[in-house]
Amino acid sequence: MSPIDSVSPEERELAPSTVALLTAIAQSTPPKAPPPAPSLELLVRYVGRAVSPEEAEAVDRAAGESDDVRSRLVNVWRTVKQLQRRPWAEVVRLSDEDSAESQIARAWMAVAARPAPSPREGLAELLRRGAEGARTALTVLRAAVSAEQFPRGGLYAGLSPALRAGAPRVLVEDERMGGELALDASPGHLELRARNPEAVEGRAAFVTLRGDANDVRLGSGVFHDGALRIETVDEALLAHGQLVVRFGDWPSQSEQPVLVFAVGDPPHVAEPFATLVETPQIVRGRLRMRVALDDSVPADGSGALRVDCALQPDDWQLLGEEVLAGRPPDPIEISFEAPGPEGPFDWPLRLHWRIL
Amino acid sequence: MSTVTPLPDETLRRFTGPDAGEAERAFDRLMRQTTPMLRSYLQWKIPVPDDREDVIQEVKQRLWRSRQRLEDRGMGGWWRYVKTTADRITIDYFRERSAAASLDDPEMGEIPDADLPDVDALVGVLVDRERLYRLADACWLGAPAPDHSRRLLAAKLFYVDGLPWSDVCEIVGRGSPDRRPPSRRELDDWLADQTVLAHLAYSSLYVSNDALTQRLLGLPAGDPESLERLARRAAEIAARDAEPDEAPPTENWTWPEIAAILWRFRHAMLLDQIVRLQACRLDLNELEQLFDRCRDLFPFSTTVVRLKESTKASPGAGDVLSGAKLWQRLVFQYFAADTLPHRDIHDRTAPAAEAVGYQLTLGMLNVWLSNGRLMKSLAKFAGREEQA
Repeated sequence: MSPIDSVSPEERELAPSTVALLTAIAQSTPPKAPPPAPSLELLVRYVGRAVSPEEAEAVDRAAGESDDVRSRLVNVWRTVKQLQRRPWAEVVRLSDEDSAESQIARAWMAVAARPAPSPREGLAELLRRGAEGARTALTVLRAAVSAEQFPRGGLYAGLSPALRAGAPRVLVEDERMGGELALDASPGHLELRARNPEAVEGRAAFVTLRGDANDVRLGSGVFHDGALRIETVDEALLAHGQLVVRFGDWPSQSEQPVLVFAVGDPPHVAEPFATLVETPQIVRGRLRMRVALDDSVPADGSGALRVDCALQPDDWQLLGEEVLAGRPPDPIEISFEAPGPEGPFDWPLRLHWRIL
Repeated sequence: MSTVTPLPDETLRRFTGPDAGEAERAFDRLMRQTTPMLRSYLQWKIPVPDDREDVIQEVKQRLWRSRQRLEDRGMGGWWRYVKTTADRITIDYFRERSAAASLDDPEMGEIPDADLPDVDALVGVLVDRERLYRLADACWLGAPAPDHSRRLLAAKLFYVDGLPWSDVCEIVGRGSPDRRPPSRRELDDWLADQTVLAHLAYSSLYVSNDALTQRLLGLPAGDPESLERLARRAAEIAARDAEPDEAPPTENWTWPEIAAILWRFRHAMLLDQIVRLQACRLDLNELEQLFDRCRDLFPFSTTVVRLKESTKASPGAGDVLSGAKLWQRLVFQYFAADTLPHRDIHDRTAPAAEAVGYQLTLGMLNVWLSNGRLMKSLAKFAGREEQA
């Protein structure tokens, strides 16, 4: 078939017989069956960061090679982003319908119901930034400083998405985060500093790192002059996990911690405004929580308490909004449909207040 | 689909060794690769299928009988011996029929010793398509980074789909929990990387026989089954003498045209082969006009012009598009994977190459393919990889 004759001998790099043999071998080798196109369920898990590295690589490859797969991936990503901004109850309702969006909603529900993994970046990153001269801090709920108000837990802090996105100053300077405790992280030590030293003076606290499997004890001590310093932090231990600060002595057994971010909004709400007064529970598919609102919640206006939960460190799912007419009794009980197993809700929650 | 793996030299030693049972098993393994190669090699030399199979059986018997005289010169030497045996039996076949036409075929000469290292370097690669294409990618497009697929996806989202960089970072930051979105700077580095650009251009411009046929027939790209279904229906209709009682699935083509498009572009049949088919309802003139229309619908030039426009801000992208290596990679793929004749390869590459300033002539294709320049490049590259 190949017009080999038309090539002059001096142009040849291989003899015609050699080319003929190699061509026959190459063209006779059966092609491997192409891998099946990624399913919708796999694309949703990819978008929800719930695939293995091998599955992620397979989706990357398929979407890189095929315009069709890539178009489906972008569509799934856009739809999931919309679903994340809709109350969970709406997502559940949508999943019962018969449409392309409802198929994605069903797959998204399965992803969202998986336990949230630990943040993929840990304190080691904070320490690294500290070494580079960037001041970093973690803040925690002010009201949770009163350990008595938090009978089953303690005081918890987690790495904020904003911090991980490379904007640590936001946390340090943004008064809306207004935590009672700030964490200064530097190579070799951690320092917890209270904005109100009197509230913590003389109190014992211990710090653990909640890892994938176990809590790692980082250290403990007593607050003095509003600060608690923990020396010789082993960076290698801090690659992953959530920092947990508890008041009191080391517990006899580990409890399920609750990681809470509190953000006031609009900006004039300078202080954290909400306290979880007991560990949230999922009961019959609904997340139930008791929340104490402080005086910063306007007494005369209507507003809404908006609750998101973190499915992944940077991924939030809106659970719903509770409309509050006038000054609510304190504490209030609110509930939303929510993903996850029955029992204590141990995923990160973000409480978000806004004026309607 | 059977899985073919390169045969180790051990198989050859067993085949030529004293243990008859082991030799038989080794022979079976050798024949699993050798028989398809013989069919491919003899396809054009002996067009009558039954005669061809007779020759192949004779080659096998002679290989078995001469096994203990076979000199162990590695797999390259084995393949040379197979080809020489096939050539001799083919010559006998022509002599018996007093047909001298193919006796002076230059392809049927002895493989020179000087070429054996190249044969050795390539035979293990050629029998594993995945490895072959990976090697060809690295040879002509550049060695990919460990996270190459992710980078290529980012480049496609940015350059082909036109997504803003923030969306691209967010999408490729997903996947497994340990992934981080790339920073803007990282993404910029990926998008300017010559290897990423070369792979981007190649994967945008390479369109397999099936994919091209799907496009020409207006079938959905993500549904390969639709092509299968249409091909079955077109074959049924073409086999009947009567006029089809159903309308074709597209307004653009009649049933005879659909059948001809499938023969020409899916199965890479030549015009003169198609016109001789009993099932073909179109005459030569109609077929020529039909295939001209199809060529006008080829996506290659449009794709490369769009790519040139979308990557113009990236320094070096122009060099990638107008460089020989991209076009050599495409030519090799159409040749090795789609078994296209030179003219068809030219149709799918030359107009697009010209649109970005690269002249690709039939003469160049001839040098690249027929005198083994591409094979030689690949063999050298495989040898260097082996050493590395």
